[in-house]
Amino acid sequence: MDLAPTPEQRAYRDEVRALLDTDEVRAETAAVRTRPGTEGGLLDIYRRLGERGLLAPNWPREYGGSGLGIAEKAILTEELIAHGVPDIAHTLSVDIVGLALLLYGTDRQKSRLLPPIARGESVAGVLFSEPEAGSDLGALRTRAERDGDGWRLSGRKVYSAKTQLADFALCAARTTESEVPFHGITVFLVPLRPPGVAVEPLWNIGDERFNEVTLSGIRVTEEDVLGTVDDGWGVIGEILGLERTGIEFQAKARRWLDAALERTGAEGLAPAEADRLVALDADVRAARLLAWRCVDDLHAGRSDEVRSAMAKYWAGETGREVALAASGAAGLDALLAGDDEESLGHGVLEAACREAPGLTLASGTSEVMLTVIASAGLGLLA
Amino acid sequence: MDVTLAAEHQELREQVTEILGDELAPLIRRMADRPRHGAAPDDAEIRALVWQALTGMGALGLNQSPAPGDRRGLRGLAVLAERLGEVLYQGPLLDTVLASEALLRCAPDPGRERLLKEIAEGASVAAAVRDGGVRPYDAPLAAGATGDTVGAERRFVGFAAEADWLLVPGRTADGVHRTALVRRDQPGVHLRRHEELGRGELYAVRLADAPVTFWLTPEGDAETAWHELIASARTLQAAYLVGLARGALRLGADRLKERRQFGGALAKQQAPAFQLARLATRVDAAHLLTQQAAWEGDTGRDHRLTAGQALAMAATLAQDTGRDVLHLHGAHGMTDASDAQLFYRRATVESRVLGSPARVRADVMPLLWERGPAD
Repeated sequence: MDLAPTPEQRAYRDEVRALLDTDEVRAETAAVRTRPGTEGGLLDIYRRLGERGLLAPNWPREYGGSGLGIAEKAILTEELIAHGVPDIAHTLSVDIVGLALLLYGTDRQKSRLLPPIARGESVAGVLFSEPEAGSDLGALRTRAERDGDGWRLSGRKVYSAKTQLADFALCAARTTESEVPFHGITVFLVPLRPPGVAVEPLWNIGDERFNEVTLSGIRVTEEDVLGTVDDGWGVIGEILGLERTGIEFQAKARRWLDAALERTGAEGLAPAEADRLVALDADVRAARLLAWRCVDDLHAGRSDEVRSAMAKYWAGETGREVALAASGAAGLDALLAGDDEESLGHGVLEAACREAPGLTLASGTSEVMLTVIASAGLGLLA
Repeated sequence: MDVTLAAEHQELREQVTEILGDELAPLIRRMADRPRHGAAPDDAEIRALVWQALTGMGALGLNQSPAPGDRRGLRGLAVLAERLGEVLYQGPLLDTVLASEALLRCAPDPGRERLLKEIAEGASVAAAVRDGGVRPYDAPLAAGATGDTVGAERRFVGFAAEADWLLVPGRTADGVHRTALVRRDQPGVHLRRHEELGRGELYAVRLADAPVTFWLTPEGDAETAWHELIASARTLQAAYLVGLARGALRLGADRLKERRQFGGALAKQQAPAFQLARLATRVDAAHLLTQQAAWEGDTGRDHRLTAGQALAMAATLAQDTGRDVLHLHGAHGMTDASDAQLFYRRATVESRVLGSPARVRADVMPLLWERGPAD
């Protein structure tokens, strides 16, 4: 164990911090945070990062990245969140869709789709969840019916973020009926602008709206298949597993806890509140270590589903707890929204309370994580 | 940033696991246990064997680097302590390495070198730092008029009856921090074994004008040195408790796989399986935070906050794991024959000897607000 960053990692973090600390970026972030519920379009911040090759640091240079490692990607995520920059477009476009393309995409798909994302000019979405298929993706009902040399997709996808801005999305659809629920699913790269795709908002308590996306016979071809037909479950499992480090969840918990610590001193707190913050700080620090252990694993070419599940479970649960405890310690003022003139830090803790419930749901629910730990880690449930 | 154990520490872990292997573990678990019913087992032989095995592998020299100021051994010691906790080892090993760290912080002196050599060769030390308080160096201590003797009373001193030396920190009436090293077999040293929940080797020690072999005088500020030593003690106790929780967890998982109820193995039921999965995650979290504390100590960083947080986290974890694993054993877990009650009792005692989790957190609380941003 050596927790000191390498000189290269320190330099990268310093470069990102310098950019995120500029007045322009601060102003844009503040503008977003002081208009809760009015989600903007593509952020200039992403373009600024993209211009410097910082937005997708671990992607190859030919696709707009910097050819750096997974650690730099984790650093970028930590810094975006620490600076209050909305990160979900980055997570979806770079961490999930970008990763899927890099792993399974053809050269043509990668050349066409990755560079605009790396430049911060394009956003990609994910269309996996359905009304009756959340954690149980094998139950999905979206159909891909053969149509000549292609398919026509029909179905409803829900809880997708950023699809109102996205140019395309990963979409899981059933291409073959099978006794085995996970067989016969294919992942398509679906364009979201053409007729046959309807995107409607599903308003929710967070700052980022969900969407309901209805596919009404939109046509896709072999060119739009990611990976192998009928083997989409493997694609989904791998990308969700590799993306599941808990890095973004622990970073959010850290930001929220620090916001409370900045606004309180040990003297101003009830002993029980101060004790809780010290304990939660330890939990957040442990969450960071668990997350970085996964980053180390990925860097070394290992992938450990139990460690990933632990990192995600711990960070999600801790983050949810931190939002409530931190806002509780900071008092009622912490619940003033960003558009209230007396809000604390543009309503960071009020927004935290709204975002926190999603931490134990997104990227695999806590129960799914516990199932992985119990079965693959402890040999139970078999 | 590298969160995984270094190759040398992985190697050490394998070595310790081999020495304190699964065959020996059930015997080690019962070491120092004095059952309320029936005769106490004669475990002198196994205790001597384990001590020889640990000293033989160089455990007592892990933090004795020849380079001045080099204390790279805390991570290695934490790896060792974790395995000791996993097998419920009871003995003066961790106290002894802490005593050697205290000696290493003193100015070079022939007396110091002689003691360090004796420790490296297998002499053991019981440190009078366990009394449930967070600042044992503030306990009252009276130095004799000639400076050759010491008077003090300390409770919950582990393994005092078998240790060669007693390390007694404290503060004199005029506010000076002093630390005495006293031979256990000297006149003026009185021991009484506590009857306590763990039914282990905790003693009340009374020193009445006991001859002092060596007064430890740390280089630099004595209080700072003690703060750092306490941080190291907390780090090692945290590691021990993480190991204890890991051992209890393994016992619990084995029980779920073996025990059949309602037509199948308990292991197939989600409620107990999830209960253990949550604990397994907490074990890994506490392990990593403990290793971070050790890394900070090894690299000269201020590890007081992390060590306190790690100890509080590991202590709560060990208590919870002991409690839950006993529950998962059913009434069988409460019988003397079951190791579940042993883990439970030991976890309850060991999680409090350096202060309750809440007291430890309160002690390091001001450091949280002084901390700078992470790298």
